[in-house]
Amino acid sequence: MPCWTEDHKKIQTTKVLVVGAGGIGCELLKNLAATGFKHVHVIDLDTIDVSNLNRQFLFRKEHVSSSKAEIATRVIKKFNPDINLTFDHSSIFEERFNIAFYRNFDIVLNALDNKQARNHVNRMCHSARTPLVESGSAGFFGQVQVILKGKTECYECQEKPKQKTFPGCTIRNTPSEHIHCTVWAKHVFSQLFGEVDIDDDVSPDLKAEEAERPEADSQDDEAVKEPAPIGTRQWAESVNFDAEQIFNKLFVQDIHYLLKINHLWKTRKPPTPLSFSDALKMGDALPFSESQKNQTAVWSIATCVKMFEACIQELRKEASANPEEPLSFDKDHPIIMSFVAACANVRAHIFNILTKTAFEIKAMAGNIIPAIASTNAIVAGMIVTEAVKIIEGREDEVKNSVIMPQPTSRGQVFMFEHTNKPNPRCYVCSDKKEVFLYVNLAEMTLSGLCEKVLKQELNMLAPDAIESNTNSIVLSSDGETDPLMSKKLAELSIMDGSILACDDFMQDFDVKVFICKNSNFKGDQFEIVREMKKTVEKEDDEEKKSEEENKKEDEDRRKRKVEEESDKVDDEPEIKRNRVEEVQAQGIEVME
Amino acid sequence: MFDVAMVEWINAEIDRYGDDLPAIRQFILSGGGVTSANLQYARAICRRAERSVVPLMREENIDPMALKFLNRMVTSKLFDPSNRYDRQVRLWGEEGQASIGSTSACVLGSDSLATETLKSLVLAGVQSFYIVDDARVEQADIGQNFFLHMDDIGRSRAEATLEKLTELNPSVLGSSSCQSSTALTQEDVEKLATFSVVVAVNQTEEVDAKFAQVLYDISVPFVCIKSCGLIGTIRICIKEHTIANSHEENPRPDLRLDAPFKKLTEMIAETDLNDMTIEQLRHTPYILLHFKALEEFRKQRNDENAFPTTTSDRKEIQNILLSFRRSKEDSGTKDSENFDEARAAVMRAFQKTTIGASVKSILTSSQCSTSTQPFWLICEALRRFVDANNGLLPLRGTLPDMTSDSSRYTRLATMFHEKALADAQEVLRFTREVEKERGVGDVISEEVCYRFCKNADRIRVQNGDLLDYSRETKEIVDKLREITVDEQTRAEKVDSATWILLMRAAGRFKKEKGRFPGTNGVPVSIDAQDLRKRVEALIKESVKENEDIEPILHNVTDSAIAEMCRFGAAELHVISSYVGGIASQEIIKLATNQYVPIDNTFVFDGHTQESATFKL
Repeated sequence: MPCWTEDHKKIQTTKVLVVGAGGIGCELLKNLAATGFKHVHVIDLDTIDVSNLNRQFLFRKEHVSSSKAEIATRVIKKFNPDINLTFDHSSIFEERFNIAFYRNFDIVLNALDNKQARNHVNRMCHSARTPLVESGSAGFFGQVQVILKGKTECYECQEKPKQKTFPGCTIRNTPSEHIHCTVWAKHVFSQLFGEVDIDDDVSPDLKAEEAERPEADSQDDEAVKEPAPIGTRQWAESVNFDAEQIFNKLFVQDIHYLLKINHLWKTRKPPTPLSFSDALKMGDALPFSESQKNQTAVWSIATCVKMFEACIQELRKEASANPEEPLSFDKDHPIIMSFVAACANVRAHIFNILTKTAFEIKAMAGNIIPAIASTNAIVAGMIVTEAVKIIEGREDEVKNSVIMPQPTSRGQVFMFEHTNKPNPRCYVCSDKKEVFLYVNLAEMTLSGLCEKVLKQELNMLAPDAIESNTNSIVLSSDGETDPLMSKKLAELSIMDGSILACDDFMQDFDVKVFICKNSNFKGDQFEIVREMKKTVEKEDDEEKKSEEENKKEDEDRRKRKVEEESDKVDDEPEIKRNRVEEVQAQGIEVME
Repeated sequence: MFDVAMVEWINAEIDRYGDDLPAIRQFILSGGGVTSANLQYARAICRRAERSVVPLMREENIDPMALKFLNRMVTSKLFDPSNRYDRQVRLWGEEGQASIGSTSACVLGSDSLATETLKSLVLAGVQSFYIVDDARVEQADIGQNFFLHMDDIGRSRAEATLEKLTELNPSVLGSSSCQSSTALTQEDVEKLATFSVVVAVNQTEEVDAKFAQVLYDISVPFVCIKSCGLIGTIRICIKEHTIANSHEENPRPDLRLDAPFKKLTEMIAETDLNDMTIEQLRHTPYILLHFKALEEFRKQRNDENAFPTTTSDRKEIQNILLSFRRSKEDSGTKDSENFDEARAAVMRAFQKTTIGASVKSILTSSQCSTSTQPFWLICEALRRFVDANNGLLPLRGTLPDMTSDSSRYTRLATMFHEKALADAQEVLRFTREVEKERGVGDVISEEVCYRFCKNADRIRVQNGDLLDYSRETKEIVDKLREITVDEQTRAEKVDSATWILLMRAAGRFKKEKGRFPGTNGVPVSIDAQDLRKRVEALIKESVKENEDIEPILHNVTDSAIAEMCRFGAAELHVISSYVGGIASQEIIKLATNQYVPIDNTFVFDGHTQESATFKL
């Protein structure tokens, strides 16, 4: 019988780093304190929001907008004056949290809510050889994974499902689901009040359509002229943020442009332009404050228009109060969220999509996943259990575990999996650190390689890259290569078959990136795979095929998850290793 | 002018009155007397004033503190309008949150496990809680109960705990009593039975039994939680628990392949796969392909009612689907996503639309034909609907995602949605009929009815027997008798039934010796012998007179007994965190009538972190 001896001396002298002071973090700090841990450091960048209070029990209403790490530390110490608990109200990505910093700790416990930070801490612990316990929760689900260098899988050994993204032309031209309208409405918000990102354009995307337009149709479309390439913000300023004019630009003019691209509407029901004055006649318009409170009823179109108008004025006031700092999307900011909901519903209406409640739209726009105190309490218990095993040197007993919303048919509430051996092909923890990058060398820029591939996709912080054949420096984190950022990869002599040795000094992480050509990708579009694709087709065929694929992709937006073939539907689910990540893949990102 | 002090003053007043209020144990009805009617009227006036100030503020230069002041006047402790619960409402809906908000919990005990359980309930926003415990805070509590400090030593533990817990959520009302749970009279117990749930934490079997009897008769849920060292148990006692939304994962799609409704039949009739361009064919949603394959299947069998029932029938359907495909002139491939989906979905989709056994037993139960409880009223309406609709339940109305062009998918989705609404309307009409017959008002709202119909194929009822420890010990002993494991497994892992028996033996030890095994500095080896004697006695009481108890006793290993003594009745905070978390989750399931709670016993073993649930 395994035995929990709770070796108190060891527990008292162990130095613990807790990353995250949110839902799981609060419970975890409490459990650590009550179990007798004495040396704990907690890092969290976040501040407290009202929506945290239903579970992050260390925080009160009066703490809203204070630092989570600081308040958590203060409150824990109030209850447990003996604990040596310190905090940093900072980002885990900061340079001072380097490998030497991680080496100060005997164990690291993650209580994070995003993949990027998880990947980063995983690499830091790998490099520092510090044991890591990883965790996550979503509603009644929770999971804990133990990561020991060389003994178990690391966080990145298995590919995690990617967050769902939508093709730009679906968002801008042919939405077919409410989520497309919601994403578009978020873009409208950033165009008007936030940081402008060229990827977030909201006007019809005519360029994307040109490529796929069959030649025979080109005559029909001759009348189409692209709207003047003037920034939405600039234009809005020129009309003094007049709600009616903005509304008519988005929902009349732009829709008319779209309608002129005939082929878009051959198999789709075309949208119907809707003017500000007509929209106001559609249903009763609830007053602003009433509809604000009414988050779970579907607003009439007239209410949406009123909301649109009121929010624009409010947000403009807020934005001009601090012109240096553009607003950023915040799902818990009532005015921003109401604006997005109203805007999304009007667009949905125009495209014959069922409108949704503000409550539902908030879930989509904010990638909200439900979170409750009890699951987090259980997960925190699971983390401490595993941590104690590691500290007591019982590493062969560690387990990865999942808590289920209800007992399985065998009556289990917890499901386990003995830890797997590290993946010999993992690009983080194996000796074979390689990935294959498919790009269009004539179109991908160095900046795309740096920002989108190395930073966003491979989670590096400050990457350096050297082309192995020529030994030339392609990318340097000290800024030397900054003037080359807009150059295409082909112009930098990166070719099909090139190998880039990429390196991140802070993470002590390096990876070889094998460049593979895919001439069908547009712009910075790319694909990263862990193993080279087998199919070697003739280039002509390949091109034709992907052209078709692209087209299909555009039209088959419906397709999401295919029901699994199964005769035995009542069978209990086998333990799913990436349970929570699966939830994530369905378009919901945050967990804690 | 309003200054900050005025808002603070009113906040303080709200708190002051709130603190004096006793725990609210039922719905607040406005207008129950002259005072309360006046108060309600005053509140309405404040609300009206608040509403007129909001637009004024936008247009005029008005002191913003005025609004805050008015707002606090109407939104006192009982009305927390913030989005505090946003993240959990997404789990159980506004209706679930409202149920939690009207739940009052009485908790017997205030140890670490009780506190952890209550903590998650208070955060979730129950209406009120009431702690009953005569213990005083001791040194030992400080180490285990996170919320207690050294300064609390000597205070009433119920009071100290209450103080910390109420800080967690200002909209929850808490109160406590220093009565001893063992000294409660029958009258006291009956008074406590007015709460919506009673939780007994680490209470004696006698206290459990006393409450169980009273609560069972009036159908109030009773939850017994116990922990000892690394072991935790939960026993949920309730006569009848109805579940309107089981949140079953991945339910079988409700496509009605064997019984299409009118509009769907029309669309199938106007669909001709041969008449389509290849593009149209490849963008035909798979449900239509299924119907066409079924037509072909019926034609081949020359039986217009044929429906695939076996795996080989379904394979046949898959082959028919394959034959529908056409290849493009240029590429030659016949593959397309919609056909792949259609083939993959055959096994799940081609199932007869039948009513499951558990729903059937609900619809035929006697409760259905007599009860005036909302759940049963609507079940009776559901039964009448089924009778009037060829034995079919209302349509769920959601269509799985499928590759398709927008127009046909939208048409199908709308069609399913509208049919579901129409079915729900019909159920609502029946509900009104039943309500009238049974002399209750319109208790079921349209919204409730619609939600109910959407989940109608997954409603559940759990029935439980009265808690009876001697009967349950018998069942535990039966379980032990059936254990057949090799010696090594027996030595490595203690069965959950063994732990329950040991917990019970430790309870008896306490009752007879006035202390738990492994306490008072008595050597573990001596207490282990005494504990074993009690295990033997419990087994003997449960078997037939002549049965040899050795084979059963063999499953209660010495190491398990020694482990029980080693605990010395100590609570480990981490175990409280696990078990308290699960207990509060189950209480929320009971309060919301959503999700399927544990039926009815849960055992957690902290050595292996393994859990077991079974019915006793």
